[in-house]
Amino acid sequence: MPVPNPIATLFSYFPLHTFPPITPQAVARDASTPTLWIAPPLSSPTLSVSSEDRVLSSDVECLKWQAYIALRGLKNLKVRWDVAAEGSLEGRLPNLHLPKADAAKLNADLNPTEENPKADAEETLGLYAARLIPSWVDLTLGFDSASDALEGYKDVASRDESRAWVALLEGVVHAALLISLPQQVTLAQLLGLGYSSSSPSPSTATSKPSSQTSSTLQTVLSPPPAPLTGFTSLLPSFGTRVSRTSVISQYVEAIASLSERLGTDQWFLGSSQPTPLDALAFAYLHCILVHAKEPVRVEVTKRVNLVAWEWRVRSTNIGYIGFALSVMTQTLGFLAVQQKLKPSYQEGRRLAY
Amino acid sequence: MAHNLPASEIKLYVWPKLWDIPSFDPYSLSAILYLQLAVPGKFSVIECTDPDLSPSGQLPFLVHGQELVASFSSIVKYVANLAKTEGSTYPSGDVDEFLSTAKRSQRNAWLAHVEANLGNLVASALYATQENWEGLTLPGLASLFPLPQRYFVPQKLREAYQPRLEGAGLWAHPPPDEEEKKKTPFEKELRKKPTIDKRKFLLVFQREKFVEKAKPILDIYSRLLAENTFLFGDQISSLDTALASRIILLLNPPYPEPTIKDLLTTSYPNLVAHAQHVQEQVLGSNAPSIKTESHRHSVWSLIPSGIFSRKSPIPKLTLEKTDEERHVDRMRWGFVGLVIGSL
Repeated sequence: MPVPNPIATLFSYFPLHTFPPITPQAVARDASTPTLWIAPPLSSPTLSVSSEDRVLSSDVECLKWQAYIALRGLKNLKVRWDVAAEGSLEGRLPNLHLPKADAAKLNADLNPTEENPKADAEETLGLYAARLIPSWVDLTLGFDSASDALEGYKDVASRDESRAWVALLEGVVHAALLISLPQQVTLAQLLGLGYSSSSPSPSTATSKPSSQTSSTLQTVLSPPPAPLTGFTSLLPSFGTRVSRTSVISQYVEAIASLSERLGTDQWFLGSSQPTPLDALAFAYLHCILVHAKEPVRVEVTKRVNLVAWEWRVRSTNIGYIGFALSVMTQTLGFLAVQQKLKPSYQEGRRLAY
Repeated sequence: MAHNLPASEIKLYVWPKLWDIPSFDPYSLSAILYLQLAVPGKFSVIECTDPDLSPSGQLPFLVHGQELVASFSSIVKYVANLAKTEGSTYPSGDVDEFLSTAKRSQRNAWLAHVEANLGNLVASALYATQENWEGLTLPGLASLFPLPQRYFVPQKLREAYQPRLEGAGLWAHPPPDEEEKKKTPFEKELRKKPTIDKRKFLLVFQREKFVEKAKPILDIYSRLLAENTFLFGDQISSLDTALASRIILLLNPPYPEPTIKDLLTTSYPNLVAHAQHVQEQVLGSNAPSIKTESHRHSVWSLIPSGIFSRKSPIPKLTLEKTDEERHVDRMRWGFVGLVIGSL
């Protein structure tokens, strides 16, 4: 039934305008060198850190990837830390931002069956999640990792054992690190009701942990911790109940085992070259030595070989990462802290100047 | 003051028995196996459904006199120390005595790996897979709890595992229900067929994904075990109990969706044989039987433990009061009575 005339005239006073869709801003300017987006490093002017340490991230995951890239021998890498975690791919830092040529090569390598590369090469962002970093490093170095089944370890038994050490580091050691980092003071903590689920890194001041951040205690501890309100109580699950003494005692044993296994070797498990396990161990040891509070930190400082190993790796291999740090990035970082960047994907893209 | 210390027996509080396995929780089961090896006949198992009694909020935990120890590795360490301090009562307390320091550090790393990775597989088989959860785990758990709790505690237990399993990629999201919108009531229901296939396809895809994730982990243990009887040669260790408890939990329960069970039985016979060997040695017919009791349910468990202090599992020391203390008590009560009377 057609609209009656009086109502049609009424509607004509309220016309509907349809505007064309807004396309994203024209091409973000290309990054000139590969850049790693990381969580901010410790920024304390009073601490006498050397210029190399100023670029080492305060988040374990970002530092792990920084160490991995450095230990593989890649030198031409910039870092930036003015992007909030929510603005990164998959909501997690670190991300890798590549110039167009490198991005095209990496895409071709990852999707070998794709026959027609995207015609609008101008639009590809060149931003990759952390798990693609090994592929990029292999491509840049011209190394075929599929040919090396041992992944750099001396034999199959060592490779299997490395998985066990990874599980130990990412389990108890990570949990101890999380509970000993300086946390935001919450009401629940003040009332003595225990830890609420902690934010992943001390520098991202998010009041609500996002559902995508996986480094919370619930994913790290095994068995998963009980809720603060208890399993059998009528209240719905809230928070996590963590027994500090239990975690710390397991952590003490873990560090003792780690120290024992390292012994006087140059790299973990007696490898002749640095391996991903070394990058992970370095990241944890560095974060504990620099950021953690007393009972956790003192355990590592008691083990001379661990401290010496971390110092040696930092000064000889990691030292030059991010040397090519542009002044632009530093001032941007300062401005970002002032302005509080809006977390959005488009924002992150636009900042890739 | 005379302290009357009760004769201290080791009491282990664990999750109860289900499906003919001493406990359905891998940590509780490995604790039972370890204690049976370390201190056979000198401990009792208390089946408890209230994890809030524990200092860490999780079962198992051990009570020995005034000591409360929670978590499997802490229990192992405590019992091993007992062998040193009270060697006459608990001679074989340290099952891992034969290991060198280097092997012990490797054992710690492997234990972390078993608890994390193999534990994730067990949790996904019990909690994540929708069929197993609805067909096996939920009815089993609900039968253990008293009346108000059986309606919400199993879901809470499942939710505790969810973030971990989602992170590991082992959580099965149920396939979405698509509602058919009929334009007229007379439209034929031809479109129902493809949606059923889509659900089946999703389920098969999830199963394949689980198998793919499980294979590398099980391969590692298979290589570690190789042709030996136990993981560290010929003698059993705490790591064997941890591994065997999880393999038992993957094999024995009657799963409606037996993907990982089938994978184990067809491709990893040495792991199955190892688990059976450990079970035979520790819980077999010639081993001393385990004393089991059940913990009484209490209505107070409905109230969160942080707010009101509930009855602790540690028995309180009974101290005899001296005359002076009794006099002070009487005076105190007299004062309170005077205050109330004067109001």
